[in-house]
Amino acid sequence: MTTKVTTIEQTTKQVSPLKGADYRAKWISYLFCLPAVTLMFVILLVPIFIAGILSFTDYSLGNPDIAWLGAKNYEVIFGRSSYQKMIWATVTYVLVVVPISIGLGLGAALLINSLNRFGDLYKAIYFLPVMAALLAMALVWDLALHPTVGIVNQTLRTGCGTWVEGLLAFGWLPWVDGAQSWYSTSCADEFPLWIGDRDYAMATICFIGIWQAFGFNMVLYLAGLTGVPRELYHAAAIDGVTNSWDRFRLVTWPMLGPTTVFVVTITSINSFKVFDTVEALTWGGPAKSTYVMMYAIFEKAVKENQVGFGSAITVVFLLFVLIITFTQRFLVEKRVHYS
Amino acid sequence: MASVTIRDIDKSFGPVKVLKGVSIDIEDGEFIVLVGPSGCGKSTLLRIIAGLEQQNQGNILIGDQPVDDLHASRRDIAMVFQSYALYPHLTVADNISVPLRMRRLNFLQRFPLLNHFIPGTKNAKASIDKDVNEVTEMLGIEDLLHRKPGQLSGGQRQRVAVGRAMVRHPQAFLMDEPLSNLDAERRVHMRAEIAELHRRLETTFIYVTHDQAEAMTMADRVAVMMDGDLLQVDTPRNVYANPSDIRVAEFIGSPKINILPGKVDGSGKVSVGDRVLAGVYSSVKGADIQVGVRPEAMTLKDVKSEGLPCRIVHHENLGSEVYFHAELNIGGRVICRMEASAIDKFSTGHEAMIAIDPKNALLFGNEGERISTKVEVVA
Repeated sequence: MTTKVTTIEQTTKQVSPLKGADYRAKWISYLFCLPAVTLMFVILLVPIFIAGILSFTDYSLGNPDIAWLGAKNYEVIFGRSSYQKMIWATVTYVLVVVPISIGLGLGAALLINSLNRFGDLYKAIYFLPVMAALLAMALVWDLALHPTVGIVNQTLRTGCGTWVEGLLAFGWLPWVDGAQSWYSTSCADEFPLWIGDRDYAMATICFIGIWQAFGFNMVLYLAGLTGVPRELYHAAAIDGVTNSWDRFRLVTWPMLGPTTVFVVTITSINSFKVFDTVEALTWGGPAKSTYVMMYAIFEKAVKENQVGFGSAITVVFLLFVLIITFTQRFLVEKRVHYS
Repeated sequence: MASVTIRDIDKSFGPVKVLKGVSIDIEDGEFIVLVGPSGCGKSTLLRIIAGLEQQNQGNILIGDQPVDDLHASRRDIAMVFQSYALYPHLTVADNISVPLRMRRLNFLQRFPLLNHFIPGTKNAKASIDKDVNEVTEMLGIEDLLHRKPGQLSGGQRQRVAVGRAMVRHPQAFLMDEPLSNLDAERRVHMRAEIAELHRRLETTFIYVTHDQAEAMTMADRVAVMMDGDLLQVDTPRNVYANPSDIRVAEFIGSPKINILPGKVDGSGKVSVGDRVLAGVYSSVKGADIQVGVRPEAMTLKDVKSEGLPCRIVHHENLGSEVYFHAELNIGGRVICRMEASAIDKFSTGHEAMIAIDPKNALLFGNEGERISTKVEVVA
């Protein structure tokens, strides 16, 4: 870096008497930009570029022999079933967590916004999971979800045979056979293993993801709501809007457009990056049902030292994130900023 | 079209009383302007009429019907807001059609996608489009129908806001400082346009402003408010020439009215300094009073004439007329409005005499109340 700077300084000194002050000023302005640009390249762009190159090799740390594999890593990712499961698991997680955590966040923000008091208290409570370290929280969930001694299954078990079972079996609905319901069959047999059961593991991880993300979305929506001009609500009232659904459709939702774009983008990217809960609770299992991309990258590149292959997954991951970002930029942004 | 009756309206925000028993009878088709300095409660009163704010006491009647318990949407009034409050995501046409859509289409007919399958939607929409077109033509904004508010100038936005108010032919129009976001030139233009609109629609207009020029130029009657009290409701001419309270006199008129200390003797003769106002007899006798003199009722004369001695401290030449600021020898500073030619005779720094036109002197008690006067024309 230092050598580069000095070369340009020297050139400037040589050239400046010939071309005059304007030329010198132009070069000096570039010179001032140089540290920032260099840092950007070294820290942000070059690593991505290197990862891109490595993804075509079988590079592993400490191994001097590197072989060029061409597109073989990518063939494996898109061809082998365990990596198809990986993409499937990641997409499932994103498609479940993003809409639900945004919906709940918006709902909570609207409710809190309509409160005259205790609003701050609710804000603080809902924001707690955001502030807590997810890894630590995952350990708590691990204990809570333990099949035999965990508080979740213990609580569920206490309900068996009582009115709780009657209620949760939905037998009181005319078209439901209570004995066949999930709760009743679980009571008779056994409650799920949650993170140890391939049918429940992904849902459980999603649940924790939603639990963690929605408080953050709520805060973003609360900020968005403060920016909605009160006069618009008054105008809507005078224009004949009497119920809250119409008010939401005509004023609140359109005015929250920019917030929604931001929330969707941030939540999607964060959901793609899910890692800590998987690492702490399921290690990608059972049967790869929670084998999300970030965990796969960690497992391949760090645990198994297959840096080349890990890079290939990283590049695929990056493509997903880029697609989201560009969709946001070109499709949505034009329709939500009105001036 | 309907009359609007405001009866003994009280309103407090916490410990602050913003309206103290305000009553006005507004006739059908009248253009009334509520005017007063900011914080006087005029906007609050308008919002109470609209139903956006609930009064603590008193009643509002539109036509002969009490509307106190009606939601804003059911009062059949329209409002133009200071910020115009246009929906930024809707086009001009959609903005103007909102009041009609909310009233003529039911919940399902307004529901996205589903609405195509509900019978009657098409006809209702066609009638809405027809009414929107009528209004936009009348306001000359038919070229802007497909633009969004963000692409319009201030004046165009204002017209769209007026269009949205007009489109469903409300009983009364409420306007909350609709011109204050426009530049000076456009404001003067829109002033005439709104007055013309009122003549054409023949609907009741209730207009709130802090700008006395708007009040004086547009109103059939002006209601002057101050500190939550209604001081005077009268024609613009009477509010200016015959104010009932010194606060009205001071608020209306630019430059401001000159207030001089005066004395009334036992027979009712009024004097300012050592000058007796010839032919003016006060109904209050033997007291200290305040004498209000409009700048045009004061004339500067040369030092040899009779009058109150003064020194000119500043003058403002407006081309058609000149304002002289003068300090009186008895104390106090006054403004004289004179013809432009006076600039040849008087200038800043000169000594001069001020003569007061007695028949245009307004007498006020020390509490600010108007004192009735008898004026004898002196031949």
